[in-house]
Amino acid sequence: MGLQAVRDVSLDLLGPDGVSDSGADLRSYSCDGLTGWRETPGLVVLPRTTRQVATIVSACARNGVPFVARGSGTGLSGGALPDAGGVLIVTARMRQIVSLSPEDRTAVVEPGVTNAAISAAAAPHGLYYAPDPSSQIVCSIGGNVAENSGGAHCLKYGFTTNHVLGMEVVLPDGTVTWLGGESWEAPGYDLRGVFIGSEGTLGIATKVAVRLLPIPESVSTLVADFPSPAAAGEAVTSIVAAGIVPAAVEMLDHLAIQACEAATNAGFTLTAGAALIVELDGPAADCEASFDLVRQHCTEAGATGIRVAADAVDRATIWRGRKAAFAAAGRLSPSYFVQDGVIPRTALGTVLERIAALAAEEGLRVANVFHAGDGNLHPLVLYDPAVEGQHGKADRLATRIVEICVQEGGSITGEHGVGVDKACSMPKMFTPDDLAAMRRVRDAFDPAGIANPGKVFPTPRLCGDRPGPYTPHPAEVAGLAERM
Amino acid sequence: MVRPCTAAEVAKLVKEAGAGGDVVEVVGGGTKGGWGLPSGTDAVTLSTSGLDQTFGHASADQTAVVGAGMRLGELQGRLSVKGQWLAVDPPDPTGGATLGGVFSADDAGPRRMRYGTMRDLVIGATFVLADGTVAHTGGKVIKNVAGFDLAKLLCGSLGTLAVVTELVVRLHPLPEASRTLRCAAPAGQVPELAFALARCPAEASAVEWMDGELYVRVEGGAAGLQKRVDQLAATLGAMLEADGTGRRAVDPVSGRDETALWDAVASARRPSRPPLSCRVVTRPRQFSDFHHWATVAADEAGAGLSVTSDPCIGVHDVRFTGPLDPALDALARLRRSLAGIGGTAVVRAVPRSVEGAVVWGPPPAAAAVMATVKRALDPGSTFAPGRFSPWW
Repeated sequence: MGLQAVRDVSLDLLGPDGVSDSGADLRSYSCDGLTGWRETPGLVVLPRTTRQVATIVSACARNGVPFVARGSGTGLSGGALPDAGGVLIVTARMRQIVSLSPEDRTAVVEPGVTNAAISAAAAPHGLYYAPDPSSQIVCSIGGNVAENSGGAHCLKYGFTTNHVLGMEVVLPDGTVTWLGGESWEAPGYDLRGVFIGSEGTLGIATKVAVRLLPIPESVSTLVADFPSPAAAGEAVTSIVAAGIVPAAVEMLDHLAIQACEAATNAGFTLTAGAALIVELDGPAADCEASFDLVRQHCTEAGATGIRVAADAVDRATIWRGRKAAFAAAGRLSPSYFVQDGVIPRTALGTVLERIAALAAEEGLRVANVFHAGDGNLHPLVLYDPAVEGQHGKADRLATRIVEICVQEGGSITGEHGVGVDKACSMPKMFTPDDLAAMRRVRDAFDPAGIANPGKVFPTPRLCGDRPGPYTPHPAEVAGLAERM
Repeated sequence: MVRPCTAAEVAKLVKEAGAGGDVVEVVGGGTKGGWGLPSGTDAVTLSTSGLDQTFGHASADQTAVVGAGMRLGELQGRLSVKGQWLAVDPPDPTGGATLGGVFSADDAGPRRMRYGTMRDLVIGATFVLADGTVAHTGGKVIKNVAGFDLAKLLCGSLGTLAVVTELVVRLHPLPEASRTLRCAAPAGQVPELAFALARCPAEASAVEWMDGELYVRVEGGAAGLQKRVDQLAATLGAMLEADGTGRRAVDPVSGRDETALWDAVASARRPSRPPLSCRVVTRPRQFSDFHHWATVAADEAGAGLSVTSDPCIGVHDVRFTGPLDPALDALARLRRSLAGIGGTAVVRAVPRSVEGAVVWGPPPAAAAVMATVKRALDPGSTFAPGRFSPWW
């Protein structure tokens, strides 16, 4: 009944072109980038303006209908997984760059604008938008705000939350307001900081004010080959100890090198145990001096070869190789899980050993790609769904890897978000009191619980009836059911 | 005054106070007493000075876990042993500011241009809610998006939501070398200078303008520093010449003179100076409007004026000098002008006689949501009620 009312309002507002409610249309929105979770939404709407979003959300609030916001659908934690009885609000048609002020080094954009489009619009002014998730060509800034997206360069430059000054948002009751603004400081509580990374559970951003940075004068990139990830890790430790803050430090292990090279021909050395990509940027005078030091530290840590990017084209080739890692895993295996754990960087050696041991136990292969500078691991757990029981084993291995990360003092997610995928792992990292404090804030914004329900917070329905720390359901242990 | 030494002790004290209907005012070093409105004389003062023992420095991971009551100077001293620092430089002339206090006020200094503020540097927090709940947010790793980032909410909340007992911070390497350029710069030329400096590839880490003088700090590796200084000096020099007023000198300052120069800036920014100091925020390109209006407001009201500004960021500290009444008049005039461009002015160092509406000015768009969040976390209004009055 409620959904029907929202459908009527939406049709009036957007016309048939902006509303989907037929089977095939709806099913095309049934998952985001994490395809293992699927749910057909009750209704899909494609608004073009803030007012339209607010009207639809108001209708949802009046009728008690849940809503889920979706940008480009590239998320990797099921944050935009639809609600079967709810509305999926797609921001893809809200893609205007509203204003760009070179003098202020800011831009105001609509949520459907892609991450890369902001930098493209800023480039003629010598500016760019710093956060660069691997999906930046297609992912939307609204989605980046929801997930607090990072990227390879966040070691030096930080995350979405460090680059967004404010957002116009539609709150779960349909109210339109600004959190933060277009200036560097806003009096009162920093609600923008809470909203960013709240994964759509506090409302929908309809305009985003971002900071832009001057394009660095100089960029230097190298790829160093090492016999093992541990040796490459040593190089990172000594680079950091020398007081150098690289723009990015990325590592591929042997298996990941095979995948990336097969997919992109980026020029990685196939025999290397690990490849380390180090990029420095900033003032030319600083970069030159530090780059020599980086080469020295790599050599001292046992690098067997160092390739310096000759020019911008060569650098782009290296990055294309790295950023294709997830997709490239398909070359190694029919299917795979991408994990997103974080560890204190210095625990890298220990954690890789533990992952290797666990993988051997399950009889599975794990390719490791990581942001080595900040300890963000992306183990790719490879498996074949056609082999009976492998899916369950792979899922279990992926979960155990994240548990290791938490045990080592890290996090269950560095940039992909909790979404629906890791909601049941939240109690591994947070106490019931921690989660209750978060929930109080959620309830303050959304007392009816209609904004992206079932995400971020563990629920009995999702995680089994027993509250408290996650324990596998007996059916899971028996291999009869899977959380994925 | 109560002085708990652990989060559990804080929880017990806070819970008892709440149950008895008492109001709790959290105090660190007591250096920002005039930020927001006071809670009244019958408030229980909870000093965080006993929460100063925790210190865990993971230098290779560039993070540290620190008790909220530790003084910032003490912390920087300990971190410097391993060549690192917490990259904030708020005005702290007495050396009394605590980590928790700087966080709760989100106070920052000139180098925020490069490093951001506490908001950007805190990666985890332990806090105690009014009902005695001890909770954590974030973690110990720099990259982490698990759960709501409640540290952002607490940062700048002026002790109204919880007692922060412990913080995890990300650290930066101490710069090897530093230099500051100084030159005379009339207010009218500041916007174009700031525009050029903010985009200069030599990457200044601070640009500060104070009553007619501009200071530009550059820091980093020793090897590349001189080239960067030259680059910035050339940028400044070219623009000053174009001005045609004959002010050519761009003086490089280093060592003790440089420290003294920035101490003087910090001193000017110290908000406790009477009679009326306020933080004005505009967009960077609105500097000229802001400065013109501040000058006119002071003139018309018969108040004196002193301005210290981060023109690249659009954050300005304004001091109206002389007797209080003209100063208040000048503030009201400045606010009326700022309203048209979305600028804000908030009084810091509040004279006791002044009411909340004068301190805070017009409420932000989301004031109602902020009030709801306050009620959700502190339903009994135990923590510093009225600090943000009349907003909530």
